[in-house]
Order: sequence, then C-alpha cells, then structure tokens
Amino acid sequence: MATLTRTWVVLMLLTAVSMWAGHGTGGLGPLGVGLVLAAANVKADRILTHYLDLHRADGSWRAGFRSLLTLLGAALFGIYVLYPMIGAALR
Amino acid sequence: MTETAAPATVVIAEDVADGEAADWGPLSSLPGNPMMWILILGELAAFGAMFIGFAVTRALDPATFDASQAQLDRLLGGVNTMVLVTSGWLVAVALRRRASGLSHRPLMLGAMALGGVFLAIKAVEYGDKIGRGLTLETNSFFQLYYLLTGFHAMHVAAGIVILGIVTWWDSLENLETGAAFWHMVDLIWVLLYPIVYLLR
Repeated sequence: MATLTRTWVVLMLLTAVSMWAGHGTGGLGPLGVGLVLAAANVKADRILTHYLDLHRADGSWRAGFRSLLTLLGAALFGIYVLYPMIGAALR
Repeated sequence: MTETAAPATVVIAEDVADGEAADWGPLSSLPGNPMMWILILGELAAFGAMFIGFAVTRALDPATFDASQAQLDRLLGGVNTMVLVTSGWLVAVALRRRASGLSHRPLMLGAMALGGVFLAIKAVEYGDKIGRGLTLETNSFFQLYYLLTGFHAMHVAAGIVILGIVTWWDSLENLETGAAFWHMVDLIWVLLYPIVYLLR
C-alpha cells in the first residue's frame, strides 16, 4: 500500500510539473516539450509498473512497454521540435 | 451415437478449458487476465498512432493548432488528470485490500465517483467550447480534440460500468480485470493530456 501511495504522490507531482511547464502562451521550446513529454512518460511507466503490477511480469515485458513508451515519446519530441521541417516536407 | 459423443465432447471441452488456463505462452507471466493485456497493447497502439497523427497534423498547420489549443482550459485538463490518477490509486488499493480479505467496496465506489467527476468536468469543457461555437466543424484541431477526448471519455464511461460490475461480483480475478481496464484508461489520459492541452 505504501508503494501505491508513493506512486500516487509522484503522479500528482508530475502532473503539477506538466501544468507548470505547459502554462502561458507561446511555444514551449525543446526544453519545455522535453520536460512535458518526460513527465508523461514517467507517469505512464509508474502506472504500468505499480498500478498495473507489471513489476510482477517477466523483465522482457517491462522492457517492451518501456521501449514502446520511449519510442512514442521520442517520435513526438522529434515532431514537435522539428515541425517546421516536417511541415515543409509534407506540404 | 449421440449419447456416446456427448460425454466425449464434455471431456474435450474441459481439457481445452484447462489448457487455456495454463497455456498463454509469454502472456502467462503478466498479472491478471492475459486478454486484458492484449486489449491494453491494442489500445496503446491505437492511441499512439492517433497521437502521432495529431502531432503530424499540427506540423502542417501550427498556427491554427496553437491558436485553437489556447482556447482549451489547461487547468481543467490538469485537474482531470489528478482526478483520474486518484481514482486509479483508489482502485489499486481496493484490489490489495480485497486480496488481503479486507473491505474494498467503499474505495471502489469512491473510484467510480471520481470517474463521474472526470466526465462531469469533461461535460463542462465541451459545454464551454460548444457555447463559443468551437465544434467538430471549426477546424482540424477541434476535430481531433473531440475525437481523441470523446473516444477516451467513452472508455471512462465503460470503465465506470465495468468497475460497478466487478464491485458487485467481486472475485479477485474479476477485480483484477476491472482494475486493469481502469488503469489503462488512466494510462491513456496521462499521455493524451499533455499532447492535446500542453505541447506547442
């Protein structure tokens, strides 16, 4: 139960960090985009590991889910940081 | 002939049932019902593809997307994240208490109530946007906003029903399966919120 409560506290704190990093107007810049995506990635990993009990599964499952989340985060980071080039290439 | 075939069918069915329980291959090490993990993987893949699609569509028209995103209430979206995360915590604790033979139903009811709060906040958001003329037909940002958040809200509504069912028929396996669905809904939202509400 203590692990679950610690996980909940971490999720709440990371949500607050995301809200702080994403507030205001104008672009977030690479640092802001990276911070928001990293917070989301860690939150998703904590939910999988502790709420969904993935820590009880084979290590290959944990590695697989972490890889999937990292791949998604990296793709989104690339698209948001390089969007002028991507937009020009697709138009 | 029918009389002799029937017992054999029963035996075969029992064998298959026993085999299914023990023969999930690599999925066997996953906690809870393996079918739920197949659903989780499928949902992650589907929403992941939609998130990439959202980001690429923004790259084609960043000015419209950024101006439209500024119309969203980032605070309400963040509050809803906290509501759903807290609901997931209650379900996780309820499952541990059920496994220990302790009372778990009040926590499950609390989790369902928070699911209702999430939907109520979402309804307030939709009401505000529609009241300002921001609908599916406004632009591609709002099309994707309603598609993604609406699809997720349908999962939340289904999740509340599932939590209700497993709270009533509360075998440990039922609770594990219902909890896994609810955590999946939670997992999708913690990825969806920053992409739709914050990133620019």
